[in-house]
Amino acid sequence: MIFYLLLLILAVLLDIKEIKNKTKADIIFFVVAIIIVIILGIIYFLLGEKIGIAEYIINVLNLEGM
Amino acid sequence: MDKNDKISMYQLMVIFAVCMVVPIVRAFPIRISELCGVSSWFVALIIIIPSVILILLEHKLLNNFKDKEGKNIKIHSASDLLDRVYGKYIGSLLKVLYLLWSIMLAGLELRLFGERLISTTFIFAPLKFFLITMLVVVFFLARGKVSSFGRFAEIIFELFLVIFGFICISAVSNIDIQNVWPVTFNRIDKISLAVIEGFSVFNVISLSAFLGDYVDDMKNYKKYGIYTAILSGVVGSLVMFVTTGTFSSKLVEILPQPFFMALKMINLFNVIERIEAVFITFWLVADLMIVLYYIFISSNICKLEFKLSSRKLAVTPIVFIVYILALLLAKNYFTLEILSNHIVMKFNLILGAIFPVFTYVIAKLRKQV
Repeated sequence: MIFYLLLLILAVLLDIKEIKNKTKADIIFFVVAIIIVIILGIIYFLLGEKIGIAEYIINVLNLEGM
Repeated sequence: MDKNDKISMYQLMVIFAVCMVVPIVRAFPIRISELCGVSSWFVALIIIIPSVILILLEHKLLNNFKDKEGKNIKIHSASDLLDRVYGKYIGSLLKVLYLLWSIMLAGLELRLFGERLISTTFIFAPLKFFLITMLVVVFFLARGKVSSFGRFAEIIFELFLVIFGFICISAVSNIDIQNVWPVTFNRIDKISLAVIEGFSVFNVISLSAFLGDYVDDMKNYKKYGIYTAILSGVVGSLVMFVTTGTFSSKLVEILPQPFFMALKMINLFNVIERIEAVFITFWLVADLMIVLYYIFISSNICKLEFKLSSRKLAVTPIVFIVYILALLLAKNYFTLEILSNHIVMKFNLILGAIFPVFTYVIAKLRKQV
């Protein structure tokens, strides 16, 4: 979790150089996207070992025999 | 966008051709030999026909688009096309759908890359290590120019042709002709299914049109698209020929990495062995390129859809989402394979082939093409 956050901070720091002198749309997109990334990160670190998208779809579609 | 950051249609198709090696080598042997047995190598060639038809339809949509007065309009990319055919709101919705699809494919390819390395070379290594290493490289490359990516693909493509040609010639001594001959077509339903399965690998080419605003010569989409379709069909056929010829189709169905196993069997005059190491090197580069290809596409869709001033702004969030998605996709390799071979293939078919045909029909009804 700490490593993930560290990488994210480093990547965002690199992007701050890009954001300078950018439009409002750029800044809003970037902030919203980073919030989504953080939320997804939290979901993974809380539930990552318990859920798998593939297992869920296979159960729903009943594809165990494949 | 940097005005000098342009690639030719040839470079775009070369990028796609190199990327296609990954799914062809992974999915073709198992699925098609399961359905078609001895004649599977020939069936791989039939896939060229629907692929060429798809290319022709997409070429018409991208190059022969007309406005209400019947004048030709220049379509910059698939994003522009969706807006013009479906209008602003439905067009935006569809672009978001394609964005999610390309991110999902990037996550899937990344996870499969990690799993493949663990299953073939580094058996006890942690998965996350490979995923992060790959994504660090992808992160810096995706922030670079598309033109650099195109030139890199050109070099890799030539290298691939040499390596692949050498491998196919070396494998001839291991091929048992009874495993690949005679070609019989007893079950038309199975052959049709195999062609559809194989075609669903190729039709990701539709995503290339989202990089259209980087391409100088969109009018060459038909020419180089058809070349790519033929090349992919021939490569697929040779992969099938080598794997089923070496092991027989029954064995190929149950082997985890049949093409890789077939390469392991190559022994030239008891002098040259372990040729698979050369191919693994190329395979890793192709893996890097396919993840990069999807990230370029998804970041460009973000740029066009959210009116960003630079594509680079979307790279950081997409790379992190791809990492999380790669880990969340499946708990183990077996379910990941089911997801890849059964579910994602169907999505590919819907969004990559059926949907462009549907778009063409709508454009035709509205007299836009």
